[in-house]
Amino acid sequence: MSIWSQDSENQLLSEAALGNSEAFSKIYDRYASPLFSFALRMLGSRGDAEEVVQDVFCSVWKQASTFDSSQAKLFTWMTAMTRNRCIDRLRAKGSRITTSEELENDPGRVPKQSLSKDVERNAAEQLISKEEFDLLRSALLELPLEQKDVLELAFLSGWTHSEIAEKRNLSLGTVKARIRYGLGKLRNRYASQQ
Amino acid sequence: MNSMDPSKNDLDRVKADLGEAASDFSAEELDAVIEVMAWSETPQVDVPETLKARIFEQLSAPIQNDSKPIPIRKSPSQSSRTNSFLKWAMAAAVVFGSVFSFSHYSNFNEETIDALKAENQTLLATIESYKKNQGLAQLKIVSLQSELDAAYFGAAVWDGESERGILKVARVPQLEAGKDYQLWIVDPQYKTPVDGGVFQVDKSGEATIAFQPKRAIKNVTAFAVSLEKKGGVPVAEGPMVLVGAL
Repeated sequence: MSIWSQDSENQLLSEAALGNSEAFSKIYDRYASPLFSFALRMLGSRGDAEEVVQDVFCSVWKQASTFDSSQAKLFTWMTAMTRNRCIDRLRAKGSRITTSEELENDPGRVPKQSLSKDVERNAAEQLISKEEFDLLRSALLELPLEQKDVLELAFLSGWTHSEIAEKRNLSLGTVKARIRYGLGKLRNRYASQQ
Repeated sequence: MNSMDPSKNDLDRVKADLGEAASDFSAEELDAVIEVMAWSETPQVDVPETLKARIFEQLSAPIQNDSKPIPIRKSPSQSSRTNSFLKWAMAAAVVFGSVFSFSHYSNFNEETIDALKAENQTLLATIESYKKNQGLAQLKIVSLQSELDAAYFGAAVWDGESERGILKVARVPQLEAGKDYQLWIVDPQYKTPVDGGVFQVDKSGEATIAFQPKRAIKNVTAFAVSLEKKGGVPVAEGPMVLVGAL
């Protein structure tokens, strides 16, 4: 989905693996802002988000030579890394993704609009083909709220299915079914645009 | 997916968290799900201006520490050559990363071999281009194979100018107590291979080592790894575990 050519991305990463800091700098310029935005959304703390993004870029630099671009896109890997590190922090703090109510009660956290559904300027809009992304996004937004809720809890909070079931007062089977249905819809939408 | 690929753990974890419904997702499907889940409701926030500088500041020290392979032999002149050594050690890292990305295949069919050959040609062209651009024409690269077990694998990068090299081995068995692997450098000017130092492998059967032979090397024609008693021997006695000729 990235509109940044896969070839140019791979070329930059290869050069970065050889110690070319200029190539690495270009990767940073391209991805730092969306990754920071994502980390901030998950953690609700600028300081924590900065540390996570810093850690992600350092990991990419160190592991660039062993990254297999035929198996995953750099942006996807970095997004997954950011997500996983944020979840580790949330778990370490016994916390989870910040809700709108929490934001309202803590002005020091991320601005309220950061969790708004009416995002004026998407963090990845410069990186992802708008048409393709909109199709997938619409599939997510069209999901029944209860399905979207469990999908987001699994992806953004890293809750296990059992935890989701317990905290949402649902059966484990219901949680699994909702996630399966939601993912199936996203998958079908993706297949339809190929 | 390549077992050395650092993205594997991160992506597998996402899959695991999404549960069995995502277990058979292709790489492209997982790409799509991650992107839409991560970005569909994430607004743009400006990244702190100082973050980039902090990242590069952090990298400036660890780059050298993390990239410096485990030394077998210490040389008094090593520090003065650190910069040039580091430059081609980076090249070695790319070579190892690419070459070893092939080593996870257990079965080779014709299609796989053709694909690997094509990848290999691209890789070699990239390396040659890099060597030329960086003034590193003196680099020699060789893969090491084993007659004991086809799964054993190694690759070496040799810098003829500074007379030092880096060896990486994989899928080699861990050793019992009292044993070491010993590296040998074959130079026709000497009657017997030159000692390159001893080493052990980790639990996964891998090791990356830097070596600098005590004897001057004019012309490397091969590298070999043998199984020897602890501490090594002056002349190879044990079985040859890996051999690679230039």
